Amino acid sequence: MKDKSLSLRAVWYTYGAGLKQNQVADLLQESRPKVNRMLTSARNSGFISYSVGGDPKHRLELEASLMQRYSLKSCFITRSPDPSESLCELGGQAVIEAGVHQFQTLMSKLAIQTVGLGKGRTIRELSKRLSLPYNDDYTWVALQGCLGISHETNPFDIIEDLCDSLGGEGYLLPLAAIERSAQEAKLALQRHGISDVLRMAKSAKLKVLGVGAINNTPHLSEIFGLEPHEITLLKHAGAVGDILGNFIDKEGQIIVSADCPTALAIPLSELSSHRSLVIAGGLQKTEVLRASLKGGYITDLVTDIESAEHILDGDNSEN
Amino acid sequence: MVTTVKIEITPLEYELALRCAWLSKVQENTLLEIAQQLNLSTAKVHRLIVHAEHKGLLKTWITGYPDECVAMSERIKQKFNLLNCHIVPDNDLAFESNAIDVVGYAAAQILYEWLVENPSGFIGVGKGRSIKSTVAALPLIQCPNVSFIAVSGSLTNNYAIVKEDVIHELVQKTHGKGYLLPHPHFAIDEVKRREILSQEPIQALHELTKQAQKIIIGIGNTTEQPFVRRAKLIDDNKWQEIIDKGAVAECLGSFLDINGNIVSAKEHELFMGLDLNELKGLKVLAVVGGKNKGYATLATLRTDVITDLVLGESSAKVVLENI
Repeated sequence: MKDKSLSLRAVWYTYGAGLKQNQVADLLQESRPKVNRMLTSARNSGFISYSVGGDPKHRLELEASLMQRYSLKSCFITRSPDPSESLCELGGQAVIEAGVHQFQTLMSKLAIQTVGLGKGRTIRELSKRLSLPYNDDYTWVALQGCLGISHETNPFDIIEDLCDSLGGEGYLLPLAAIERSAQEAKLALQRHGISDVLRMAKSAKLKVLGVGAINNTPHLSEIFGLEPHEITLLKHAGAVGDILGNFIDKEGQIIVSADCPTALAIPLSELSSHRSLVIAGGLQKTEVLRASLKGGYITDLVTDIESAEHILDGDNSEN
Repeated sequence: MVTTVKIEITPLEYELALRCAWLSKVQENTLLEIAQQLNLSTAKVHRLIVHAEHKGLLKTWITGYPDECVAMSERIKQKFNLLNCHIVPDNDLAFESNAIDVVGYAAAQILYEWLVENPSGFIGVGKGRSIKSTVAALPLIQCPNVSFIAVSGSLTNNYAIVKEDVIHELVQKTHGKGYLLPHPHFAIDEVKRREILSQEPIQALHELTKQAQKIIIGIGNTTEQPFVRRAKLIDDNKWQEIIDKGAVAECLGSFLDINGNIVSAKEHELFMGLDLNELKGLKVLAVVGGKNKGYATLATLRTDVITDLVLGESSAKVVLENI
């Protein structure tokens, strides 16, 4: 009993008064190792508890729910962005940085050197922040057509930059991301050399990509060159967004119609054959993210709390 | 030489620090397990946990008191019909500041529990070293729907801010709302007092203080330099007069003799804030740190205003010896 009281005294002086163990030892006229033992014994007797701010429990629970519902291999949820912060529309700084972290984690855990890359602002932000040892054995390969219809974007940026900064070989798909007719798409994919790059892209053990919402962001007009009326038609056809240029409905099914452009990219079914890391946040992308999860195109996800909550809520209310 | 380097962490490190703290302390995973799970080095995991602690994200709490303290708290609780009484060990501590901090730490845990249990409504907040220490020990906790309101004037007579006010720090830690009472603690004379209290915005704020269901205040010992003297709110002559009338305690602008009776003093009439008597029926937590607060605490307990008490054991002994 006396020991218990003395241990508690030592604990109060350490944590409450903020004293160092040797100071506590002096005050209680005990040796420092004795004080250390007293702290341990108080801890083992359950007299110490911890609280963690910032609600990590909620994040971990959301991750577990998403992983279970959509059979994910990994999931990382970060705080949601402030409306004022940079990269807010991509999910915020935290989502992008966590995306980089998961990207690097997968590369090192799975000893991967060939990476397939989608395109868009998220992927560009990620690739700028990648920090890996320089190595000429990397292979960076495009998962979808790299050419933009609008000349304002330079679609070569990402893969060329990665080769420059991290080393290795880069393979582009010198095609537009979409074609307006299935016939043109078929012809484009038959062009010399394309099938080799596509094969390499399919076999990449890690594919890193984003998803695009269907709304009036520059994404659809600048990267795909879609006209406003075409976007309206896509919406009428039930499209909620695109993944690698494939427009999908809310169940994740690719929309096939005369009005819907065809994607020039690896087939979406290839995404789940290895690891497919999708980084996307911000409330605009919730719907297309949920659809992509339902379609089974994602194995590893990085998103923010609010998006995660909306994905799960929306799915619950539909069922 | 120890140098403190202020390190800002990136949004990702913040996310990882939360996880490391949670997985290590609450889930009791080893550093190695966490390192593998998050693809970090164990050194980095350790650093992030230390960081979480420094940033007020991770807090260590103590869930028991030494037996001799528990025995004293039971007696005081019964004698004064308190809802809760915590007697905190301070006997061996050499410095007054340590004795205040250990009590502030205990009070921080109570305040934290208030905020977790009911993250809304108004909390009235007093001033002084013990209150300052309480808020310093409070970890970060998001409760944007809580409002903290000063229960006494937040300015000195020359309109400087009272430094032992904590509303600003509470707002920063909780993201709640904060309200100061933007007028002096004591008015210079009755005319000035009426003038200040007749202003509409001041009246609105005073109405808000009356919304507070929970109050956290300190108690001053008149024989030492209590808060009202440290903040230079009362000059030497007036102070001597109050002492001569037998005041042993100062609490919310009221001066109390050892029996808990209010000593009639000009300053008490000029006080601008919640009056002690207005606190009756509310939850009132008195945080009393420091080794020489026995008589002051006893006097204040005798007013029957206090419902919850956090007190150092040195002062508690004096309370029990003089009941």
